[in-house]
Amino acid sequence: MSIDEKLKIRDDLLAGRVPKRVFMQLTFTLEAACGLAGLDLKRAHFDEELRKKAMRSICETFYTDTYPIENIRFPAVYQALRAKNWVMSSTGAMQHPEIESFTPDDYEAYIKNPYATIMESILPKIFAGFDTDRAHASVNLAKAYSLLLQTFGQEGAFEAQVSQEFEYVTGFFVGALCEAPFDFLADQLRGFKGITMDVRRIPDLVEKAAEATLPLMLKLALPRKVNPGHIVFIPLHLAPFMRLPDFERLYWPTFEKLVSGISKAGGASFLFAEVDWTRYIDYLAKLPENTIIKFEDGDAKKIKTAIGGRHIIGGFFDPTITLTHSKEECIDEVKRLLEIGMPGGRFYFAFNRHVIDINSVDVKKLQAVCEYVKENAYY
Amino acid sequence: MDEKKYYLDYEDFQAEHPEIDPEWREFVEPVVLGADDGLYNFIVGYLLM
Repeated sequence: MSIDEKLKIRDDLLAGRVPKRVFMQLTFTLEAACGLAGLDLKRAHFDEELRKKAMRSICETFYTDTYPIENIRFPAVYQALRAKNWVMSSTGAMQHPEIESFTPDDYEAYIKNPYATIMESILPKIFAGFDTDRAHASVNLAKAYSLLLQTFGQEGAFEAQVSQEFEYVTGFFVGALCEAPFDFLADQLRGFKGITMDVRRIPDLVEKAAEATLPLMLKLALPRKVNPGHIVFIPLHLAPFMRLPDFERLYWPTFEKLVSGISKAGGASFLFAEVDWTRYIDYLAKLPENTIIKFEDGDAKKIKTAIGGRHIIGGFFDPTITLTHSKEECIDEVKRLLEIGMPGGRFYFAFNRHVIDINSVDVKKLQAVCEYVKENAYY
Repeated sequence: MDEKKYYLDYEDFQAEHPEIDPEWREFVEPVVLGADDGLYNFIVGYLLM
């Protein structure tokens, strides 16, 4: 299939038209790439050539329509700031431990001026490199930012090179990244434990803090000039762990305003509904038409029936079943998903989670799954 | 906490500091953290996510 045909498939999908074939956006991490190539992940983080070799092995092994690697957690950046929120494991994997950088006493200051609170109070608690005098903090910020730009530059150049070689088209990771306001507050400010207590003890403050966070997320989501095709990736975290009344009051209102704000500005949202959002499907149905939603788990049939005529959905396929099922059974699962998702279009094929550890999948069976979709998922 | 130290938009900063000639924006903007989109995205959209 030519690159123009793939682009047409993507265009049709995003416009809500039935495409020629199901679009495929499959993603692996650098960890998985190093595992596949037999390379040392710890060394690869700091060696551009090793990373390229590892990432190329994924491109050569699995078919997909878009660039298949996600590598955004650069240890050099976090180490330059002596970060506590992203740390390297003994294997080289970047991990996010539970942290609390914000106490219940900080709510009032945050609600009044969230950005100043981030700069003055939150950053120094998470990054030892900011918890010093202003001169050294400035130098640390400059070092970390420079490392980020340098590494993103290397990754971008490699992506451009292999995209030409393997004829990848642009996927959905093309615009900006932000979070639902409640998730931003929960993830690295209050932490899972802290926010869970706050939701019950001080919901009024949580509600106001989520409202105060909304402009910060909109600023991340929308550049000064929104170009056509701007897509904002929003991974959704805490909602599946909430009670419905808490979700309705504390999570949904600012999240809906965020997605609607992006839509009104001419952008689209690409949501990753982590865990199971089936019980919130009626809420997702209210979002602007053609919102892209990747589901981790959930009742695919119920979700397709409820929102498949309005939004673009994908995900559901768990690549780790390749370890426990025969090749035929894996392909049967793909067929089942395609039968549910394909009618009427607005469906793309994606793993329900990135492949993080290559040992969590059977490479040959997963190759067969990718080939099956590529060869058979035609309308 | 100095509430006036950080501005999300340069225009807000300029509205409160009309004495600063707009021609100096390129020198002022990098220190008004948040008004510089690149640094803002790095701090809020990368370091805290």
